[in-house]
Amino acid sequence: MGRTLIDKIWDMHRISTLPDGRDLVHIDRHLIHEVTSPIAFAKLREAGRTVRNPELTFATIDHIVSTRPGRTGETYARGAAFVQALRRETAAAGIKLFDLDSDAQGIVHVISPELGLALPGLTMVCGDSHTCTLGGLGALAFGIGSSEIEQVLATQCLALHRPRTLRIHVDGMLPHAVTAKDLILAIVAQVGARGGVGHAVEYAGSAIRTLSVEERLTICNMTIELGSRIGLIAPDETVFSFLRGRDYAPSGAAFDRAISEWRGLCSDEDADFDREVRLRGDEIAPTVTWGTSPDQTAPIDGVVPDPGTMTTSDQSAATAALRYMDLQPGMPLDGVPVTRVFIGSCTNGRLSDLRAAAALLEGRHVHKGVRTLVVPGSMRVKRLAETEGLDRIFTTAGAEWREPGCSMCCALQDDSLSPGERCASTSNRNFEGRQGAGGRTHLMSPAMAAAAAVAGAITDARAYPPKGRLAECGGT
Amino acid sequence: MKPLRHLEGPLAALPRENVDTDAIIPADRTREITTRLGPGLFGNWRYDRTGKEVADFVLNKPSWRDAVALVAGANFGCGSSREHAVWALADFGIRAIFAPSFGDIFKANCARNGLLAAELDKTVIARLLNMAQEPTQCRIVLDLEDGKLSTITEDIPLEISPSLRDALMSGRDEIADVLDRSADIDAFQQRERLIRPWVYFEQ
Ligand code: SF4
Repeated sequence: MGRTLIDKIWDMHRISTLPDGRDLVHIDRHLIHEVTSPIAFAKLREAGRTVRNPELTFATIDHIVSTRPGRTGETYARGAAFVQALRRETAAAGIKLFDLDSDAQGIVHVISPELGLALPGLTMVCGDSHTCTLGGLGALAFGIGSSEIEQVLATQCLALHRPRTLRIHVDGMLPHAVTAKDLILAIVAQVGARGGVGHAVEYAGSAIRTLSVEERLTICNMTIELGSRIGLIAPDETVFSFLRGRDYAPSGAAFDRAISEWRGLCSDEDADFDREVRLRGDEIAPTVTWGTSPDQTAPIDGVVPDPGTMTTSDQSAATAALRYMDLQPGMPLDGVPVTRVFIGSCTNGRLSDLRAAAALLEGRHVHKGVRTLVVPGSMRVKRLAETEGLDRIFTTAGAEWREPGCSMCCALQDDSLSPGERCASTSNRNFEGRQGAGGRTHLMSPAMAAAAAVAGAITDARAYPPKGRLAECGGT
Repeated sequence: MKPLRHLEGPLAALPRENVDTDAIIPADRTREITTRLGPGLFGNWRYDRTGKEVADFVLNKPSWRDAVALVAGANFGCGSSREHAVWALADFGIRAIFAPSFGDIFKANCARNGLLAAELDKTVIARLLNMAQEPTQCRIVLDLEDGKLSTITEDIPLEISPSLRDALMSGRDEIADVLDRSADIDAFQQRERLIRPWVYFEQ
C-alpha cells in the first residue's frame, strides 16, 4: 500500500509514539510573532525552562502594529507592550527577529516563503491558524496555540494525533480572470467550514499543478477555513525554482541534494486517502462571500440565497448571517455598496496580488466615499512593488499605500471597520466582528476588491479591463 | 494546570453553529498580555456598544451568570488559533464544553488548559440545548472518573480518550513529560543533521 505525501512527511518527523497513541513529532521551523508568543515566553520562564533550539525559531512583528507610513512599534499604543516583550524575549533567547527596521519584516506567512525559511517537506508551526499557507511549498505547516508555542520553544516537538487525510482534486483549467482566491472560496463552499475538521488536506489535479507559487500559497492559506489545520501541495519544479537563491534556502550542492529528496515528496499512485473530493476548475466564476462564514459564498453574477431553500442545519446560520450582514434573499450581489476596501493579508498581500489590483486601478479612480487600504505583505513585497511603480498607481487612484502588517485582516490595531461599515476584503475571514465590532466583510480576490473600490460597490472585475501600461502584462 | 475531576453547576446553551474564536473573545479584548480574560468573553454578544450588558444574552441572565459549562452547535471554536478564547472561558469559570464537533486548534488548546471539550451526538446535544435553556433543569454534574455527564433526567456517557482523561484529572504538564524524552530528541536531531543538513542551522 502506497503512502500519502502527508504520511511521508509525518513519518520523517516522528521521533517516537507515546503510550497514549500520539506521535512525538519534530518541528523543523518555529515562527513566532508579537501577539501569541509573549505569554508563552512568560510561562516558560515561570517554569524555569529555556529555548531548546533558538536557531530554528524566527520572529517578526505583524499583528498588533500600525501600518501607517512612518510607523514605529509605539504608533499603535496598545501594541507597544507586545512589541517590546517580543524584542526582549528574542534578544534574551538568541532568536532572530525581523524587526520593523528590517528589510525582511512582514506578515509571518509572507516572509517565511520569501526568505526560504519554508521549504518542502519541513514541519513548521506558528501561533497563527493560517500557518497552513506554507503548504503551498510542500511544507507540513499548521497553526498552534500559546501553550503549544511554549512546548515547541522548550522541546522543539509536539505530541500529536496523526491526522486523517483528505485529497481535493481540481480538474480542468480556471477560466480567464478567475483567480486562486476564487478557487479556494469555491472549495470552501463545496467542502464546508467544518468539512475538513480532523483532516490534513492535499490539493491535487491539473488546475492546481499549473498555479504559481504565490497562487498555491493563497490556496493553502484558506485550508483552515475548511476546519483543517494542514493543507499542502506536492512540491515540483515551480517550487524548486522559486526557492533557488533565497536567503535561508540551501545553496550550491546542498540545494541539489535537497531537490533530489524533494522530488520524492508526492503521494504514491496507490496511496489511500480517508476522503476524496473532486471539483471542476473550469466551472468556477469570480466568487464573493455574502455571509459570516467563509463557506457562505456565491458567484458574482449570483444573488443572496434564500435560507428557506436550505437544509435546516444551514438555515438558522444563514438567517443570522443575513441579519448581521443586512442583506435580503434574492438581492444581486453585484451592486451591494461598500465604504471600505482592504487589499492585503497573508492570503492576498504578495506581489502578484498587488499587480492584479494595480492593473485594474491604473487609469481609474477610487469611488467617492470609499476608503481603500493597500497593505503589502512584507517589506520585500513593498520594495518590489515600489520598483514597479505600483505604489504610485494606488495613490494616484486615491488608495492608501501602507507599511507591511496584518492590518484589517485581524483588526488588532486601528485598521478596523466601524459598526455597520461594509468592506470588500482580500483577507480570509468574514466572521462577525472580525474586522471590527459590527463590521461587515465580503471576501474576494484582489482584482474584485479593486473593482469594488472603483465602483463603490461589489461588482464583476471582468467589466474593468486594464487600461494602463499594466494591460500589456495581462494584469496578472 | 488546574485538575478537573468533578464539576457541578449551571450549563449554558449557545444554540448556534460555527461559534468562532473571534466571537468567543473579540480582538479588541485581547490587547493585554494576560490570561485573565473572563470579562471579555463573548464581548460583542454580552455587551452593547456602550459597554452595557445585553439583558437577553445567556451569560447575563441570573440562572447562568455562574455557568460552569456550555453546550453549543457544531464546529465550536473554529477560526483563529488564539488561545485567548480558552483563557477567557476558563477565567469566566467554564470548565467543560459540549458540542457535536470542535475546531481542531481550539480543542488542543482546551486540553492544555484543563478544559474538557467533549463531542456528543447531535441528538444528545439537541436535548442538552433544550434542557440548558430551562432555569429549573440546567444544572449538570460532570464526573470525569466515571466518564459521565448527569442532567436532571439522564446520565450521558462521555467518550474521552484515557490519556486526555488522565491529563485533565491529574492536571499534569505535558512539557515535563516531553522533556523527559530529551535524549530521544537529541538522537533524532543528530541523525537528521546528517541526512537532511539543509533543515538545520548552526547553533
Ligand atoms: S494576515 Fe491575518 S491570517 Fe495572516 S497572519 Fe496576519 S492575522 Fe493571521
